[in-house]
Amino acid sequence: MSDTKVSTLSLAAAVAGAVSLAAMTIPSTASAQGKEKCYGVSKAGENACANAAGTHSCAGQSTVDFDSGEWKLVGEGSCVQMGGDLAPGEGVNEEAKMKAG
Amino acid sequence: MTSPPPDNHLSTRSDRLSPIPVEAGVGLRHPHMSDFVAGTPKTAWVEIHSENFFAPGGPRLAELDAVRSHYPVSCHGVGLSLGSAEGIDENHLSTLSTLVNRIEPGLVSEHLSFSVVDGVYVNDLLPLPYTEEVLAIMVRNVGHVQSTLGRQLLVENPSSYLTFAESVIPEWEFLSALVERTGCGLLLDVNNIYVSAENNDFNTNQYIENIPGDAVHEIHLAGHLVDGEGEEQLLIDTHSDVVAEAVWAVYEAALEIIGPRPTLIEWDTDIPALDVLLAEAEQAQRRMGTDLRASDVA
Amino acid sequence: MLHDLQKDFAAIALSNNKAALLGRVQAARGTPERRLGVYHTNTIVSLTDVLKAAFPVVARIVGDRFFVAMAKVFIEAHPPTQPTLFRYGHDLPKFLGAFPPAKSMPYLADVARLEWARIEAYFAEDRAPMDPTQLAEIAPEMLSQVSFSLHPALRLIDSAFPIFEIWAVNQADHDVIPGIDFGHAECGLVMRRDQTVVQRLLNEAAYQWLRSITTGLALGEATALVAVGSTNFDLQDTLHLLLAEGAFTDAHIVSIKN
Repeated sequence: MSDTKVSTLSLAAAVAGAVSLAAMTIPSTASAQGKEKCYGVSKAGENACANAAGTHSCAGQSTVDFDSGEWKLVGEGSCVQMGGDLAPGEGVNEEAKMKAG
Repeated sequence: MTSPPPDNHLSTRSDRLSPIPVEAGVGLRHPHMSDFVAGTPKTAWVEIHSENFFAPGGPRLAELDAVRSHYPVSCHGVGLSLGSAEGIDENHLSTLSTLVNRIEPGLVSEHLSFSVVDGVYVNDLLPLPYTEEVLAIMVRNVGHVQSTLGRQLLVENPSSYLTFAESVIPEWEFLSALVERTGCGLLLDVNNIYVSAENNDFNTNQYIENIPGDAVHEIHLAGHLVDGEGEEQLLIDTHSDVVAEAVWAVYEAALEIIGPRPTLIEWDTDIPALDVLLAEAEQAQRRMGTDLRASDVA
Repeated sequence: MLHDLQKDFAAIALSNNKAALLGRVQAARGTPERRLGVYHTNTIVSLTDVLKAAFPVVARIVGDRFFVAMAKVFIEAHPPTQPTLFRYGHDLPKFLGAFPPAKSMPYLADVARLEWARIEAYFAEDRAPMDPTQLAEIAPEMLSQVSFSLHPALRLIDSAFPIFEIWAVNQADHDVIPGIDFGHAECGLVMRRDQTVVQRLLNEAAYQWLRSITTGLALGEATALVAVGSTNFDLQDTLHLLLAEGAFTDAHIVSIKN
């Protein structure tokens, strides 16, 4: 059985150490790879009983025609700054980069 | 027409636990949450959208508990789909029941509309034709909700952008019949009356004079937007602005005809600074003829 | 029949398919098309706003116009099935993974998975984490048979791309987005601690150990499994992290079959 490969002694030492540390701190090293990622309240969708007017900015009208290849406008987001447009050679990324730059 | 609901016992339990005063309140919205958790805004009561508190745990529920310790709370639902031909979703109703038991709200309300069909939820309050068939469905669904919750439900008049050719009952008569046959109460949205009247050409006073005033236990006020031009111009119930002057006039007519009722300012889009919202509530309070801000909550 | 009318109306709200109802509605002035269109606009705009609120990082990565157009396609294909909108968007990560216009951003679906894990953690049931000293009371020879109950808010997430880093640089308080090395994988956990959603990057060994624990393996088995293949696994450190984050609600002894 696999648990024979981990000695009772080493398990006990690790558990005892973890228990005593957990009482005091939140670790910020080793297994957690350094950075504590702690951020504020999550946003999420909410129900409401209001209506949206047709003049609203997105108005339910598609402003990008995916079929005609207009999705190249992906460059309007942060994707290009991050270097995250990862499909070179399609002839769309250079254009997008120029727009973003 | 204006006789009290036959099922009076339905409302007694909650009224004892958390009455909503005949004063102005405001809709509890996320940007203002920390203020209300602290209990600092001077308002007589708040209203939530029930579905936003349907999670089994987490910060939102904890915040609501804190708000509830400072203010009477009303639960205003938007997802029960009272007008659905397929009936009420039992899971949804059961979760609402859990929330109602937890919060012990002074009032519980929903809409004269539908939003669920074949298990798909359309995030809007869709209109119903006013026929005997639909009335029977509404009576059945409202009755089921009231008996499950063990209390009275208020039903709100919708804002509408069209009428159905097959509708044979005016909306006010439809609501009156619903009250008579289920013992439900009414939530009179004065902005919705105005929006619907402008869009569908009816008289707001005729509407208010012909609903059972005794059954109205709450009034809603909100801002709307004028959208489009010429023949295609419509008023849209956006809840995105201050209450329009014309709507204040209809509110005053309602106060005249049915008397003062707990009145809520709803603001859901382009939510303003808290002061702006509270100033709207103060306006409603003044028009009710009493300025209770100084004496009551301070 | 009311049910048929309601099906036709939902088709307008979601897809702007007005044909079936044009003859049944009346407009006091103007056209029935315009009147019916209000419901479609409202449904699409409000659900798009719901998705934007749930996936702000995806929205920032692709830009507003792409997101709005993508959302419209998604909403029609995957309308809400529950009237609780904080639960709407569960299917978006998978949808993005198969959405041709997003194929130059192969990390996008995983970023969406991370954002959805945060939503799930945020709304998960309230449960008290276990008291770590509970472990100290277990006899040393029984420790290998300890199994953990997981906190309802705990989510594990891994990707072939640096999704935690992508997420972090796309927070609203970052005005300038730095370049990122997209050539490395990341894995970690999402939790809710003291009513705040937290996420922690884990090293591969710690992540695999936790994954084994979540599938029900006992402490001894999970540790042996990872210790065999990894030189950088530190049980004390990993356990410390998870206990401190409140990832477990209980520890109990299971009998191990030989």
